[in-house]
Amino acid sequence: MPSKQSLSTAPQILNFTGSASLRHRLVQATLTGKPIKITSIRSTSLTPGLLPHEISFLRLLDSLTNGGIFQISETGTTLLYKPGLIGHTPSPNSATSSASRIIRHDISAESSTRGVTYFLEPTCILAPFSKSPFHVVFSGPGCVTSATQADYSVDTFRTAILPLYAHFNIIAKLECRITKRSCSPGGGGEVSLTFGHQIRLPPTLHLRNPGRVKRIRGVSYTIGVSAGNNQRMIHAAREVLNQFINDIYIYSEVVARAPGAEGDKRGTPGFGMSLVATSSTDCLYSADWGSGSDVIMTPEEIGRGCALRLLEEIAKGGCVQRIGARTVVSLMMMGSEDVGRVVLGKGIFEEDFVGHLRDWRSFGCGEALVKEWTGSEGLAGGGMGGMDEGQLISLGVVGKGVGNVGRKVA
Amino acid sequence: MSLKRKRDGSSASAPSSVDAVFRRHFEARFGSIDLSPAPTARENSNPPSTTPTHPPSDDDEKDGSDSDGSSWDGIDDTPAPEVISYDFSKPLPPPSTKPSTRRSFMSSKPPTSTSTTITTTTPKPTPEEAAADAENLKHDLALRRLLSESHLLDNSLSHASARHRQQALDARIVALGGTPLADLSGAASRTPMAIRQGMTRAQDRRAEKLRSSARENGIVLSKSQMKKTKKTTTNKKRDRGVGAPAVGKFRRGALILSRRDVAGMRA
Repeated sequence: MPSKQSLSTAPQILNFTGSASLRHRLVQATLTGKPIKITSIRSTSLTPGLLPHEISFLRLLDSLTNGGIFQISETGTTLLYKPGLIGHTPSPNSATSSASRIIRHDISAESSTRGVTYFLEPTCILAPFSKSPFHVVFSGPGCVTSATQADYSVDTFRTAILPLYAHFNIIAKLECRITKRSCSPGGGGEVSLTFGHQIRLPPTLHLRNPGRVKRIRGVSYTIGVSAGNNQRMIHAAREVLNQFINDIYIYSEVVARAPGAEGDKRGTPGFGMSLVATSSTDCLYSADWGSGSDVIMTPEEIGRGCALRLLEEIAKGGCVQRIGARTVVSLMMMGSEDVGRVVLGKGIFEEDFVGHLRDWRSFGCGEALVKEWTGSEGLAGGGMGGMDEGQLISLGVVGKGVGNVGRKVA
Repeated sequence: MSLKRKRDGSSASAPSSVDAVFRRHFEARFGSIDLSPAPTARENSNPPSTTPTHPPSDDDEKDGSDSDGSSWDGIDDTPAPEVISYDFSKPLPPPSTKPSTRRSFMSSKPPTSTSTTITTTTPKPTPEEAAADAENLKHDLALRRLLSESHLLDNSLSHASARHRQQALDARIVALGGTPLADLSGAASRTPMAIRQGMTRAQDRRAEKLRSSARENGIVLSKSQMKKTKKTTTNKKRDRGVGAPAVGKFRRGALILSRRDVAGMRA
């Protein structure tokens, strides 16, 4: 009998299948406080169950929250997660020192296929709804700061994703510092993230005018290779971009020696580039390309490819680019019970983004209304002056007013 | 479309014939005009008697008969399309970025959306323009002085007198924040301090006497007479600044105490 009673009072467990968007489902569960059960995670794969970087993300989630419960089946194909409160509480015996507030997350060498932005992005989505400020230091042999096959670089994260929070008035005390740069297979980098701006409820967002691109900034980095590669990358990128706009500045970062995984050993050398285009209405488009170990590329190819990717991203249009869409939608879903609108390019509506919106609905949090964006209502010029006709979609999001549970009384 | 254009042309021809009349008159007086005729003036070649009387139906017929469009001159009136070609081969100089904006992009904080200012160099004024500017400035100053001192020029001839000149000078000095000359070199400045204090005290005494006698006799004085002269409070603590002695005077490395200071400390 008592067990039945506890079952009835406990919130219903949401069921999901598959490994798709596991990271964002966990974030959604943590934000809404609803337990989830994910089954058949890579059950038919040769490497069944959770992958090392997913396990690492679960560890991070554990240290970012209080009182969460993780249950992983023996094969790793089933995960039960009961979220706790967002916010790190330092251990009581070292509560006085400020160093105890810093969460150190060590990423193992096995998960170095993913960049550190795999962890940074969801951490920042959770951070505004935390009880206390976040100070997280990512390090270890699996910490890759440059762009990888699946993830963008930390430079792009800092210059294109963190400014998105400014749309929600989250501006103060945001910092993302790359202490050590590193490349894909080796890792050994170090990134410290400070997110000190916690809010009660994100304001309703209305982003409808993409504007015109007015400037392009970028960072090109070389790690353990000649600094001349920077110049070659920048030259190739400017060859493409100079004909469109004159306000271009690409900074170069040189790391003479790649950080090694173990003391003496040298880490993987490499180089890459991150470009960010800012529009007249502060909408951001970014592109990223880094050298990989599987395909050997010249710096010219990287620079030119990165510039072309940026142009492709700009051509998609909209106020938020592909890699920032989930962050913006998550914050909108957590916002007040009001219709917020954001205009996105049609190219952003891929399968997994629609899946992300469906996940939000299954969490009973918010409603998304999609309709074609035909020009602008009272806004001067539809961004590209009619060139983007039929390219844009207006995504209306009605939040559920969940907001920050830890800061209900303030 | 063609019909509409034709109509426009015919209606425009009526004022253009008027233009021709004006032009002939102008040329008779001032000589011929070298300018190429304006686009609308091209109608002038047509005899003015035929163009305004064209009914629209006539035009339609005409368009139908001349199918190859050799005599279709309706579109001729429209100005040629203006072709603007941008030369992208030579890029503009990049907008100058201040070191501070560079630092802000590469710092650990997310870059703020500060707008980079595109500096445009203003052309330097030519010597003639600079001279004209200086002249204008001089005239402006003279005019402003005239306006501010015009109350002294009531009598049209008096502005030459020394008295008015001095008043004008005084007014300018006061306007610039100085002390009027009368206070610097007049009788008030020559009287010794003790005597001047005695004078003001005597004035106060007399005024007080007048006020008290008026009060006793039930006489209401004017407001200016009722006003008491402001007394400076001497017992207010003076702000001596940092490091200065609270008692005595510090001179040449020694604190000098007067008899009164010593008496004050004893008390």
